Amino acid sequence: MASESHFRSGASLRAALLALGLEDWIPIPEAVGNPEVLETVGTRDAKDAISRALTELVQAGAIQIYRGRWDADPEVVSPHEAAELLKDEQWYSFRVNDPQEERLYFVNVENIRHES
Amino acid sequence: MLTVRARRLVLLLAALTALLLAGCGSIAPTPAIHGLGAQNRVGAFIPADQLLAQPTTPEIPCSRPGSTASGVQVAAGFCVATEEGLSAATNSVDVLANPSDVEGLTPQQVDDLAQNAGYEVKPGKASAANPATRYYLPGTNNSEGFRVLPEGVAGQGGVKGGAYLRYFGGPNNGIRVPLS
Repeated sequence: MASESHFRSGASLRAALLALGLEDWIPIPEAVGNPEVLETVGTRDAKDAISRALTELVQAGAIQIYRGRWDADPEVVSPHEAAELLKDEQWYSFRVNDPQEERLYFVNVENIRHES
Repeated sequence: MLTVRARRLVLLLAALTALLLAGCGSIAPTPAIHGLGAQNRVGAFIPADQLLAQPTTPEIPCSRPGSTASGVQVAAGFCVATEEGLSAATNSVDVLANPSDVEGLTPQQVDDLAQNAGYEVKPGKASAANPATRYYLPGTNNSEGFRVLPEGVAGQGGVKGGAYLRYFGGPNNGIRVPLS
């Protein structure tokens, strides 16, 4: 029963992240504070759950991860590199006092226009 | 001869006094970060740290020709901002902080308000299927503000089916507001 609930929660979390990623390139700390995301996972252990969900979504090809300084256009990273980066807790909080702060962003691949 | 000079001196002093009393002496815009604080248009003292915390950096015209002050550079001197300039900036900040006041505005109106309020504007990505213009509150390193999706999200219903604004960070975090 617990695992079924866990599964449902994981699916809801992934759906919330995908919906968020349709709106823009989302800095991961923003997702951590997003009410719709937190509704599915709760504030406790939210970072771990979001990390797992983002990794699953990257591996499924449903999102892309970008990396860049807070004031620059971020660059896409490979799924393999993304999976490694997502394990690091530093990406899950804003560090607004650090002028060199780098961030990870995610976007739903359906929000990327493919030029023909 | 002496009387004429004395009169001129008195006139000059009177003119200088009047200028000072009018409240717009020479202005040397110095960033507030280097100063102790500033005086606002009614003379109230604003400490430097509060100035830095203020989100807006609007261009505020002074009542005297040739004097303009921008954001924290209001600090030095006695710049008297016009009522219109200050109230426009203040109103814009207030409106944008209140979702019910933003509701029903057009994306262009929101853009005008944000520009008045000193938000940093970043246009939507050309590669986005659902382009979102971001408006960042100054001093937050792009962690707080709102985004506007003028066409909404393709294939979605409800608020997301049309133009809307979404706050991120701050007291309105996560709130979506329909625009017209």
